[in-house]
Amino acid sequence: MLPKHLIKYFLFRILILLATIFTAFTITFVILKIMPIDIVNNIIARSMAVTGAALGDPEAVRRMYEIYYEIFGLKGTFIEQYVSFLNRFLTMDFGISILARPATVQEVISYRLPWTVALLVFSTILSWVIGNIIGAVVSLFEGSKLSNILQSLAIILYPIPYYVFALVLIYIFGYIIPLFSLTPIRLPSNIFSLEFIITVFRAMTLPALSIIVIGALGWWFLSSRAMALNIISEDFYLYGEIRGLPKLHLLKKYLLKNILLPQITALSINLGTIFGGALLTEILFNYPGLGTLLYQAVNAGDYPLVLGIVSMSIIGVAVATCIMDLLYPLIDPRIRYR
Amino acid sequence: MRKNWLKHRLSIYVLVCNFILLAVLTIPNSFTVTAMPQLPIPPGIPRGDVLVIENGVVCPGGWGPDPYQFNYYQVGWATACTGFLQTGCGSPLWYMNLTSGELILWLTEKPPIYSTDYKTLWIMLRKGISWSDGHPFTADDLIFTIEYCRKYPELGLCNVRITTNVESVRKLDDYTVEIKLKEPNPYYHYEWTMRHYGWPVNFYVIPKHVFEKIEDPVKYKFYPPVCLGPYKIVDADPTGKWYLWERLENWWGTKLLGIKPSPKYILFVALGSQERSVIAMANNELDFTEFTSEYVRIIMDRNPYAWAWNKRDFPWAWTRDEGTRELVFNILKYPFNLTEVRWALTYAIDYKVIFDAYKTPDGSSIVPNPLPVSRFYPLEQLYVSGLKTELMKYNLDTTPPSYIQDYLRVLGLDDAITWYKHDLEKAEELLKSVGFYRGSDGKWRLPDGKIFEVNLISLPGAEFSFPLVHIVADQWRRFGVDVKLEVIEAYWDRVYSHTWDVAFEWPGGGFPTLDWWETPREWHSKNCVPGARLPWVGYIMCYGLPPEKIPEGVRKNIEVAKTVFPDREKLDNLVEKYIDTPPWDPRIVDIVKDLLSIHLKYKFWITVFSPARYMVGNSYCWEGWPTLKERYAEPKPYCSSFLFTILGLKPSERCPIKESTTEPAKVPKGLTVELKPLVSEYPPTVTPTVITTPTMITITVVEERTRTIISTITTKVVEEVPTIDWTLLITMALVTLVIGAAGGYLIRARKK
Amino acid sequence: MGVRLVVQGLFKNIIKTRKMGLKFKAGATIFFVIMIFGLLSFLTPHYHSYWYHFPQAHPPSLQSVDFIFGTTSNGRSVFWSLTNAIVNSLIIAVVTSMLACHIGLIIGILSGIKGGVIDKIMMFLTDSFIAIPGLPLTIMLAMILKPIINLFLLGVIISIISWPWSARMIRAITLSLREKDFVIFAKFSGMSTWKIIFSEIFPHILGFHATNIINTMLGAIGAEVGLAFLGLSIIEMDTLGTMIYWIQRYGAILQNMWWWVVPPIATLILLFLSLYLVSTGIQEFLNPRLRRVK
Repeated sequence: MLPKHLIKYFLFRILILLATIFTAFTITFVILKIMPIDIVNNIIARSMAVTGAALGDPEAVRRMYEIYYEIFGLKGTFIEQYVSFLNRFLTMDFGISILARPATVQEVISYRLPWTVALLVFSTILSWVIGNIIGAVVSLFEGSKLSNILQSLAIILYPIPYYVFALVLIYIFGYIIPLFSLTPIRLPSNIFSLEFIITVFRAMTLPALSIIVIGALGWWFLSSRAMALNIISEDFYLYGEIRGLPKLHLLKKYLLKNILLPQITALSINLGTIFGGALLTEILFNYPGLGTLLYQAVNAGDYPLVLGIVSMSIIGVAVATCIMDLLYPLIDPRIRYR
Repeated sequence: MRKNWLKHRLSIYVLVCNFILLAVLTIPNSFTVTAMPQLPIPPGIPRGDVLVIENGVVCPGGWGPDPYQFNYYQVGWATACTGFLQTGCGSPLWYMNLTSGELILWLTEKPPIYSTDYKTLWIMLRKGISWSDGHPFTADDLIFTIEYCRKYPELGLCNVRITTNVESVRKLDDYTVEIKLKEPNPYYHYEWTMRHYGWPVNFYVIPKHVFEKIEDPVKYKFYPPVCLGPYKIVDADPTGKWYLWERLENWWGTKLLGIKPSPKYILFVALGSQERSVIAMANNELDFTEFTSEYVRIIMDRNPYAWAWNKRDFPWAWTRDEGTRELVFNILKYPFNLTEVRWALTYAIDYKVIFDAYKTPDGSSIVPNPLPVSRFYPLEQLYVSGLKTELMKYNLDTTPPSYIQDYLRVLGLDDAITWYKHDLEKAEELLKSVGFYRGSDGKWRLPDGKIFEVNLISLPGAEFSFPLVHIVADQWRRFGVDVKLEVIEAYWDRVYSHTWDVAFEWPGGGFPTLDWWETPREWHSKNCVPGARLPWVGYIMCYGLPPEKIPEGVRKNIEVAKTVFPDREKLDNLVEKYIDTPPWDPRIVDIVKDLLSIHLKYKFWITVFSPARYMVGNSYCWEGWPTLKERYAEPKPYCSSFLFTILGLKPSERCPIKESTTEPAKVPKGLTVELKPLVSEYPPTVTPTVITTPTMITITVVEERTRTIISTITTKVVEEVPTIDWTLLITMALVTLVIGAAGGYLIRARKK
Repeated sequence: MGVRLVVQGLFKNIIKTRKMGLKFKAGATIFFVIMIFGLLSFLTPHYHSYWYHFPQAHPPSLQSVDFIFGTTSNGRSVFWSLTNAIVNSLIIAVVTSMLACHIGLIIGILSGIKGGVIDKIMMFLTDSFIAIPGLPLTIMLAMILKPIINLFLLGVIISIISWPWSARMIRAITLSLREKDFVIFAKFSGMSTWKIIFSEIFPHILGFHATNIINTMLGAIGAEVGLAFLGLSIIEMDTLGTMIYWIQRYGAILQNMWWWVVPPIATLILLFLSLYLVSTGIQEFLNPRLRRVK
């Protein structure tokens, strides 16, 4: 049986979780409403202008505007709409996407979600692992050749604009050595075949590679190095070193253990954000995912779809941070609940 | 020691990173590799059986959110991204042959037949047509389409279009339909003729036997679609990245007309960006796409098989787009309500700079266009050349550079007409005449001392606004006008907020017919009401009206200036006459000329050019793309008449084929008739006598017309098969090694 | 008072650069070279903003300053674009880092050390902002502010998505510091919370904070490049992001116009290198034990 104050803490934390989700949703909704975009204008004005279709009868057009506002559920005051969307949020049923009519928001998201999750879970965790290990190793063996090479790599690769980096990757592996085709892939129906694995590999390697290189050598490397350097200057570490402990032992028991706490927090949040997709990666590598869908929806002013995707992301991040808060004491016994 | 080491490390960073950059940026340019295409097609289909087209040419961005939305009349524009729906699957009643302006009888046996008062339209359908599922196509389907749209207001556009125009529809027999119109309208057959784009410009017939069974039309996706065209969908990617279409072997067109398209499969892929398209086409993974003028030079360099408008020769640019590109003034606002200001800003633009900016290495570029009509037959001869004397009064450039004149001549256009002279003195004079003056900083001031600001708005993306708006903003700035340029995603909302000064739009243009499209129809002052497309034509309908007659929504956002427009009544009369005159009636020519003269006099829009578009076909696997010399169709992929381009293709011998036919499809000559609806007093089934229009004024139009030719190309192209330049690669690798070794040695030497 | 102590200590020693270690010096030198290069932008000729003033796509030549780095496809001098871009991008970076890092620092330390209700409220706020996906939020804000956008506002937009991360990280570090012996001693010896923050906790966070500032600066430059790629930066102005935007627009990489592509990228790399060296230099200075590890 858990102690009473722990249960109280848990309940309180979950309350905060709900409040966080609610606030984040409200902020998004307000910002969406301030945005100078009106989907009805977008559909009518754009489809008529792009195609040159004219209607002739202004009265009919006005009627059409009204009909559209009605079907899209965009009628009513700000508060009414807010309540309507909050209701949809609570039931997690955002109804019909305006952009992809008549598909529902769930349907559209379900087409892309597997792609996003597969790519980002894999690449986020891998880049976290690689980045942290490199960071710790580099600070442990500061001054050695390996450390220097890794640092140089990080410094050169990280600041190259993602667009250039991606284009160079596409260039090298899609054109000079055409290992990866540029055209989108077709998934074989049998998901247990070797062909399936090869196809998925073909689609994911380049985007994953770009995320891992930028992520591992960028943020993860730098932050873990900064923290590792802090620990190296601690008394207990100095003592350990003077005792003549092997470097590997120092790395495992002294360094990694200590930098894990903040890094796991960051990882969990990062894993929560994957539901927002990776917009630039998706655009540059032509990868199907939630990022481009969200971008299209934002540009068009498709409220149900934007709120549908953003809500997923909000819930993902909020739950991840909540779980981390609850798990803190297990990783770091020095932290106790108050 | 550490000091030295650090110093070297730094220099090595710089060296290494610069070396990597240089290497990466230069090496790829020295290679051309023929890659094995890895297309998303089922296994066993050879490359030669598949025609690969970039989906971005059909819909912006190349992919839609829901790939299974095939219902034309659904609200929104998702169907645009299904690649081929309107082109390969949907069929209009008539096509317009965009190269000649003739009518192609497709689902019909006769041109449209109007009653003498233009209130009734009779349509005679072709007998023996069947849907892709074998169901016969009859008058019931056409009637059902109209009734379906009329029945459901939630279908939006389709409902509004039918209820505005159609009074009733009735079946005379299984193949004859009578449509009664609410008002006399000799233009109504255009609603059913494929001139441009597809839906929502013209209607498509939907199958009655499929749609009558569905309960909720708002939720129906129509997948897989039942078609009248020569292709059917095989499969679509759930994420919308590709669509695979297959030739229909028992298509009615093959049986009735003997038309059999050559490609067995057509694959629409989304590649996402111009860079990726270039690389894919260089790898021969892509057969057709549109490039911007910046990227077309790259593909022509990289792939010897890439064909632009005149194959690989000058000119690459295809300039027969039906729209002209305009800078539209917000003429309700001061000072843009003043004609002098509009003309001054026109004279401050230097068209030669714009021409050079769009120019590709071959020398082709945009077509400078002083009037808002398309520059091709017959509009060029009738209106652009026809108004030459008028244009001369407005300072047309009489000494254009010879390379621009040469270009116009190659395109068969009037080389004496380019654009207005870049005349800053005249512009200065005009601005001073309305009380403007230059401040001490060289910037223009309004009479009340405020700085003259112009808010220029434009769409981002490859919609031809780029780099035009940047150049115009730059030139106006040099002239002393304070330009605030906004290139915005939320463009349509910005336009409909009415708060801009100048907008980049494309309201002008026209088709190869005598009439001037729908362009002037909205200029009538009765259209100055909420709901009309006011900003689209720059508020011409509201010009000269007292401010209280301007719609509330506009007045709320901007301060409407009082303007005197003496030609208001004349313009209204002309528009009324234009609407009443049938588009095939030669009397319409003088009306359009008068309309254009008024437009020119007041300079409502600055028409800058007819755009240059670079439609590049890859002749590695598929040959016979339409070109300047063999213009059997327009390479206009966003229009559903692109079908005729595909019908002219045949496989080359370079790619393995299995089921594609080796000859291009032949479209029978008899299908093409003169674009002139028939006029009859009685329904066609009651009496077969048909009287043609009594008014016949012959107009002589001289044109160098290239006739429909489908010839087999016999030129044997001798090509070298590009391979990896191994020597270069090895040399570079060696150089890298030597540099690296030397660097390492130096460091070590220094360390000691 | 505590602040004064820290600041005094920092400045006294920065003046005595001899103590600052080589990395710092090297980093600072590169940074100042870039800055001086950037400051050349004050000499920008008036015709620089004009398009097609120079021949298009002219490779580098020594005929005049304008041509040192060649010209772009829209006939502008790469040299002047670059000098302006450095200054503008640095303004965005500085605005962002000053706003985001300090908000994050204050909130992180306060909630870490105070605990209780304050911690809960602050973390609730931070979590709410973290929970909204960053890039879409930036895009929406950039769209809203498009008509009045300027460099400062761009910095504000980017800092809105950056601050919660600093706050979270700093709180995590503070939490682990709070349980350290010296903090507990200080608390038992009756030190006030503020004093503990400044004298016991702040110096330990400073290293991370300095790295964080520099990271945020680089992150801001990167975010601006990302926004520019989507066309949401100020494309009428020269920044490192808009330079990349035009490069992409004109396909400069595929057209082999290396003189246009290399300068912004090389600048980004050098900028990063210099700031990175400065940050490690600062860390070594604040944490003298680090210097022994070699």
